[in-house]
Amino acid sequence: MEKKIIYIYLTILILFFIFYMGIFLAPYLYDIDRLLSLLIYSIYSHICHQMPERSFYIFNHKMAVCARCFGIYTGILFGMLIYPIVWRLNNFKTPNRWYLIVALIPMGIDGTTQLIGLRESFNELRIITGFLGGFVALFYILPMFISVAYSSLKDKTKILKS
Amino acid sequence: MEYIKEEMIKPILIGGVIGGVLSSIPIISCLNCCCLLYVLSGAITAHLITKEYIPSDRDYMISGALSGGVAGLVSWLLGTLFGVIIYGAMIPFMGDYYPNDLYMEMMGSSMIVNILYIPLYVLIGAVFGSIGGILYEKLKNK
Repeated sequence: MEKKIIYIYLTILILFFIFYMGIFLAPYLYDIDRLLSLLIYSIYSHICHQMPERSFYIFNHKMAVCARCFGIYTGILFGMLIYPIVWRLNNFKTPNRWYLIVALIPMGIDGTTQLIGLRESFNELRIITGFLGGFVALFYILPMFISVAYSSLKDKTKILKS
Repeated sequence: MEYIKEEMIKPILIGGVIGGVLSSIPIISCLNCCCLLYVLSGAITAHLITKEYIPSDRDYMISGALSGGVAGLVSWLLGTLFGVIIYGAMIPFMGDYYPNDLYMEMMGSSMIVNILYIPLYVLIGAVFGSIGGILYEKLKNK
């Protein structure tokens, strides 16, 4: 396998890991460096409602994202870690779309029924449905990212060599 | 720039504006948990470009990313506008709590800090917009 593909995968993994760690860093820093902690919370506020009743707590403070988002990002991270083992980095094919649809249905039902006021979900269900959706969606998103980045790098190398 | 085709421009702007405007409307913006509305803007753009030509994987991703970036920018702009209006409307009432000069200074400094958030809005929008484009392609095709 070309080294470029491995480097692209590692770059995406490291960047995502940094993003994932921020979820824990915000509550961790809350009592140590309040300003930095609030800054991190404000960054994640753009991607999550951060409602306290829908978030898990760690280090006595709520995480930077809600339980559902945390489930999604945990699913993505777990998927990324096992991806080279189960799928091969240079395999740019994606699974049948029905796996993705089925994986997103629980999260869709849980979120929609709550949004329209039919019921109130709970954090354990949010994290499970989020994890399932994030984990499966990764197998459609990551191959595309790697494939596009790899073909762009190949084109640039060709241009430089010619 | 060679990755951006002319046929992409209009769908990118349409998807971006729709996503950005929806992200700014108070109750609907709750859907932006996990940036769903930025993902939506990428998906809308992907849908519109398929009507223009047959896009490649890269086209889906790039158009989604650009549309998400536009959505982020529009969201920032409208959010700032609403903030200015609300802050301004509160001036007559804040006199009981803060001197007007201090309140105006607070408003000014929060505006300056707000400007620093522009790259963040655009970057987050771009990442999730590209995911929207990818997911649209995967769900549409076998």
